[in-house]
Amino acid sequence: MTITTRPRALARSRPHRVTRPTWEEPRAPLEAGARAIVLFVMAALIVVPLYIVVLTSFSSQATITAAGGMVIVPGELTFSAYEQILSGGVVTRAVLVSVGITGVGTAISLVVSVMAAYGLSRPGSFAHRPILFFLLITMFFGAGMIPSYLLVSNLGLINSYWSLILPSCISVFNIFLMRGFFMGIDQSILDSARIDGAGDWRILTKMVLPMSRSVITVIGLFYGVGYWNAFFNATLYINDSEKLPLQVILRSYVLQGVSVPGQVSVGSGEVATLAVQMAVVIIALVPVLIIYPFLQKHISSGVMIGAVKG
Amino acid sequence: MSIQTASSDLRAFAKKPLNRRSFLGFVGAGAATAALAGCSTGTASTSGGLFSAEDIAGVIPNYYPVDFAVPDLVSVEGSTAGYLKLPTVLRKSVAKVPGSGGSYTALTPAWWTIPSSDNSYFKAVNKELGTTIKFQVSDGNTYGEKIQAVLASPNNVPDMVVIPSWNLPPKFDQAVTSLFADLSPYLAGDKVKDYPNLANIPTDSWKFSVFQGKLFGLPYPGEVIQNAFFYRKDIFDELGLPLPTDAESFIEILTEATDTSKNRWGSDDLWNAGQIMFGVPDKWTVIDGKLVHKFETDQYREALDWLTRLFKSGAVHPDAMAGNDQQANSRYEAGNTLVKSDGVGGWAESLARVLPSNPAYNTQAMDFFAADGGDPTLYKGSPTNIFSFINKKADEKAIKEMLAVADFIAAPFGTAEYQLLNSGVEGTHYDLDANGAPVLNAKGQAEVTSTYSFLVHPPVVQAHVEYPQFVTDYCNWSARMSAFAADPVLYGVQIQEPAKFGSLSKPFDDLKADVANGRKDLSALDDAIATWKSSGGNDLRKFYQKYLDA
Amino acid sequence: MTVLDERRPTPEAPPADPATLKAAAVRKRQKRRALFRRDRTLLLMVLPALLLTALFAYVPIVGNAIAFQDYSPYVGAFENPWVGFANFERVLADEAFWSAVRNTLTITAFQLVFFFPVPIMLAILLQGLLSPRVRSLFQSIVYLPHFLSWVIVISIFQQILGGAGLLNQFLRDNGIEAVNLMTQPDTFLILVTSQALWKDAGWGIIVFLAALSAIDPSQYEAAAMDGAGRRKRMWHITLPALRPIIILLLILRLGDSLTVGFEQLLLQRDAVGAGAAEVLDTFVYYSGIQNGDWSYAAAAGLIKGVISVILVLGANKLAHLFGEAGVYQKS
Repeated sequence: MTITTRPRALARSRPHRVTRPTWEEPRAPLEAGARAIVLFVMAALIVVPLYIVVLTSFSSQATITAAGGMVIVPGELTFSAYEQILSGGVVTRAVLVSVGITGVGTAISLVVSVMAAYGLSRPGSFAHRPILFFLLITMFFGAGMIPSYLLVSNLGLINSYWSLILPSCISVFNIFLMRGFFMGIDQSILDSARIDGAGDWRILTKMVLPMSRSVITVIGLFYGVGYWNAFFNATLYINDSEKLPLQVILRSYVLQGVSVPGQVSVGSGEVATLAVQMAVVIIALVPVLIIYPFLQKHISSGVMIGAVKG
Repeated sequence: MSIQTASSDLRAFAKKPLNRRSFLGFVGAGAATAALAGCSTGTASTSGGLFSAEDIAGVIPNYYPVDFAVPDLVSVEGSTAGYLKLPTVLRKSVAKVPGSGGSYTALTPAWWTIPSSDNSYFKAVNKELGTTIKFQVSDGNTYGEKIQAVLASPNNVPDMVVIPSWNLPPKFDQAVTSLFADLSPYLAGDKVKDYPNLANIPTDSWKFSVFQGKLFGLPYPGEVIQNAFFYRKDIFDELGLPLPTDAESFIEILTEATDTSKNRWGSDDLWNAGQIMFGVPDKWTVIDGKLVHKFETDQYREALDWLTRLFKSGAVHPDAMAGNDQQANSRYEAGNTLVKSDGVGGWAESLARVLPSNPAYNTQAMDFFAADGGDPTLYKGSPTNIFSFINKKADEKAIKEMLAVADFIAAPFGTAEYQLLNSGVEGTHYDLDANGAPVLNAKGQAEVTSTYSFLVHPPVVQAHVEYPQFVTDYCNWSARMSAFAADPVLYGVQIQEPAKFGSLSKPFDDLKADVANGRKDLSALDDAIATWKSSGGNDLRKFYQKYLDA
Repeated sequence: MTVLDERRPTPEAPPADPATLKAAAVRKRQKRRALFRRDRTLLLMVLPALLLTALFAYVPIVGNAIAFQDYSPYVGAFENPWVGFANFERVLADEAFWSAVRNTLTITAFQLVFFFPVPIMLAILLQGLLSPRVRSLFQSIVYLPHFLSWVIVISIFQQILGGAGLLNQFLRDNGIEAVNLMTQPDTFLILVTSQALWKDAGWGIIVFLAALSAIDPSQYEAAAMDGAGRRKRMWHITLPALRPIIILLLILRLGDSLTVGFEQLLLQRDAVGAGAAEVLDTFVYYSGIQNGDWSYAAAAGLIKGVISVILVLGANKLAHLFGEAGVYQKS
C-alpha cells in the first residue's frame, strides 16, 4: 500500500454534479440495486429503534403507560423529561467538566500515542520488539480495582480531574493501530528524507503527520469517545459532586423518583421515568452527533473516489 | 482508554440489576427483598470470639420511646404506624443546636439525581445543625465497589460512612475494628439518655448494628414486613376476579386473567413473594435441632415447583419470564400484568407515578396466605437496612458532636427537625397543600434528597399524608401481616460470612431461571443441593452452628 | 504492503578459534550501539507512553499477585497469607469455569466469522457509493447505536423480538403461534451476534474507511485501463491494501476476545440460562468480584490473561507464516 500526497478536499461552494471518474465503468443496475437495498435496510434497522428512543423521550407518562413501555406510535408529547434534566444547572456543569476532560485527555493521549506509534514504526529499530511486547502484555492482564485505587490515592490524585485522565491515557490498542497505519507509509520517502539529514522529529511533524490525517482523526475519535463515555473511574475517584462528569450525572437520573420510606413527599408522577431514561440517552448522544460530521471528512480525507474535479 | 477501565465500567454498570433488587426490596421500586436475595443479610463477622446475647445487650442503648405525634394508625406487633394528617404544630425535639461549628465529610449513596454540594437545602440544615456536613454522594448502583475501594485505603475514609446492609464488604470484621469508632462508650445502656432521639430507635435495630461484640453502626431501621404480592384492584374488580386463597387457585385466577390479545398477562415474576407464600425461610431454619438451609427445605422445592407450573400456564408476562425485572413496574402500571411481587416501598411511588394520569389506578397489597390456604408463615424483615459508621480517627469531642448531630437527624415524625430534613424549608422547597401536607416544588425535588437521613433514621412510619387512603390500607395490611411475623433463626444477629461462601447461592438463581422456564427439570434441584453441600454448604452450616450454640 | 525489512547482517560462518568469536561479538555490540544511536530520538518519542504504561498499567498488574494469597483489603499488602496455587485450583476445578471458557470461545469464533467481516464489507460497499451526500448521511446514522448502552439495546430487541413484542403481536394477530426469540438457548449465538452487529457494525466501519481512503486512486485508474473489471480491482487492489490492517485488527481483537460481551450477556442470563450465556467475565464476576473474593477473581483473571497471550502470539505467528507483519515481527 503506497500513500502519496493527496489533493485537498475541495470546497463545495459551486454547484456541481457528482460524476464518475472517466475510467470507471457504470454499475450494473442489479448490483447497484442490491447495494442500495442492503444499505437501506441497514440504515432502516438502525433508524427505527433510534426513532423509538427519541419518541419515548418526548412522551408523557400517559402515553407511555398506554403503550406499555417504549412508544412507537406518537401520542401526547411533552418536553418535561428534558426540562427536568436540564434545569438546575447540574447537567450544564457536568457537560463543562466532561468537555474539559475529553478535550485535555484526547490531546494528551494523541500526542503520546502519535509519538509512540511513530517511534515504533521504523522496521528494525532498536529494541522495538521488547517494547512492543511490553506494551502488548498490558492488554491481557487487567489491573484490579483496589490496586488501581490505591495507586491513584498514593499519587494524591483522589478527587482530582487528573485521575480521570492519566490512568486511562494510553490505549495500547490505539497505539498498535496507529503504528499499523504509519508502517503503511512508503518507507522509501522517509528513508530518503533521513538520508538528506532530516531528524526524526522533522520527519514526524513535516511528513508523517500531514499524510496521516485520517488515522489521527480516527484514533482521536476513539480516545475522545473513551473519555466521554467513561464513568466508573469518576464514581470511584471523585468525591465532590461538582467535579462529576456528564455520564455519572446522567446515570443518576435513571432511577429518578425513588423515594425512601418515611419521606413525607414523593416526586411528582408527571414526568415519566422511562421518558427520563430515554432523554438521558439522547442528551448523551447530542455532543457526539454534533462533532462527528466535522470529523467525517477528515476520516475519509484522502482520495475520494468519484470526487469533483477542480 | 485502558481496557481495565472499560471492563470495570461494564462490571460496575451491570451490577445495577443486582443492587437494584436488594435496595429496592427495601425501598420497593423493584422486585426482590434484601432478606431473600441471598446477599449478606447478616453481615459482620468474626471467625473467633463469638459474643453471647448478654455481651451484646451490654453494649447497646436502652430503649426510651418518645412521641411527638400520636399516630392515627397505631403500630400493632411491630407493624408500621401511620399518619393521615400532619400535626398542626411541629415541635422541636432538640432544644439546643447540636453542633459546635465542626466540619465533617460523609460518604453516602444515592439512587437518584446527585445534588450539588452547595445548595440551599444543605445550607439550611447545616445551619440548624450548627455543623457543616459535606456529603460525598456516590452512585448507589456501584456503591459496593466504591465502599470496597475506599475502605481499603484508610487515608481516604471520610468522617462518616454510610453502608447499606447489602453493601457491607466481605471481611468487614477486619475493616470495622480498624477503621471505625466503637460507639458503645457513648451510647450503651443509659448513656443514650444524652441523645433522646437515638433512644427512640428500637432495640433490635441497635442489636443488628453490633459488630465484633461492640456497637459500631448507627441504624436506619427496617420494617417488619418488607415484601408483598401487589395486585391491580381496579382491574380485578373490572374483570370480576376473586382474590386467591391458596397457591393453586392463584394460578387458576391468573390464567383466567390472561388475555394476550389485549396485551394482558396475569402476573409478573412472582418468585420472591411466592417463596414467602410457601413459608421458605430467609436463610436457615431449625429442624430437629439441626440447621437446615432454605435451599434444602421442602418449602423451597414446592415453591419452585409452583413457579414452574405458573410459568408453564402462560399467565406470566414473557419479558418477566426472560428475566427483565427492570420494566416490571412499567408493565404493572400499564395493566400488562395484574400481579407483581415487590418491596413495600414501591407502593407509594407507584401511586405518585400513575395517579396523575390514571385516577382510577388502585394497587393493593394482597394479604398473605399459606400455599395450602391456611395462615401464612412470615419471617420478620431485617431490623436495620442501612448503617453509618464514624471514623476511628475522630477524637472524643468530634464523636460527641457527630452523635449530637445524629440525635437531631433521628428526630421522629411530627417534629420540626423531621420536616426540615425530609422536605426542606417551607416556601423555598415546599408548600403546604390543602391537607397541610408538604408538596415539594421543583427546587425541592432537586435539592431535598436522602442524605442526612441515611446517617441515622427514626423508626419508619407511613406518613404519605397526601394519600390518606393509601396510608390506611398500608398500615392495616401491615398490622394484619405483622401478627404472623415470626423471628427467623438468628434474627438480628450480625454475622458476616467468609468470602468463599459468597457464590454458593448463585447457582440457585440460575437454577430457578432454568427450571421455571422449562430448560431443566425439577430434579436438577437435587443435584444443585448436593453440589451446594459439597462445595461449601456443609461448612457454612458448621459456621452458623457456632452462632446458634453461642 | 511493502514493508522494508532491514535484514540482519548475515551471520558469519562458524569460526574455528576464539579470537574470531570475540571479534564477532565486538562487532555485534558495535552494531547494536550504532543502532541505538541512530534510533535515539525514536526511543525518546516512545518514552512517555512507556512511563505512563509502567506506572498506570504495570503497577496495578503487580496487584494480581493477590491471586496467590488469601487477600483481604484491610490487612497490609504483605501480611496476607500466601496460599500458593490454591485459588487457581479452585478456579480450574469449577465445572462452571470450563463451561464459561467453552461458551466464550464459541461466541468468539462465531463472531469472528459472522461479525468481523461485516464492517469491512460495509465500508467497501459504502466507498463505492457515488454520492458523497448519501455516503455521509449513512455514515452519520449508522455509528450511533455504538453509543447506546447494552441495557437500551437489549430493551429494544425485547420490544421487537420478545414474547410480548411487536413481532409476536403481529403473529398472534394472524393466528400464528408466538415464538420468543429472546429466550432460545439454541439460537442464542445468532441472537448475540445480531445484537453485536446492530450495535457495533456501523462503528466498525470507521477504521476501514480510513484505511480505504489511503489507497491511491491512480492504482484503480491504471488497473481499469488495463482492463480489470470491478471485481478484479477489488480483489487485487482494495483487499490487499486492507490486508495488513485487517490482520492487525484480527489479532488485537483476538487478544480482547476473552472479554467478549460482559454486559450484554449478563443482562440476558436469566432469559436463556447460564448454560448458554455464561462467559469468562460473568463467571469471574459472580464467583469472585461480587463477593469481594478478590483472590479468586485475580486468579481467574491471570488464567484468562495467559490464554489470551497464547492466542495472540499464536495468531501473530500464523500471520507471519502468511507473510504478514502481524502485530509485530522479528526484524
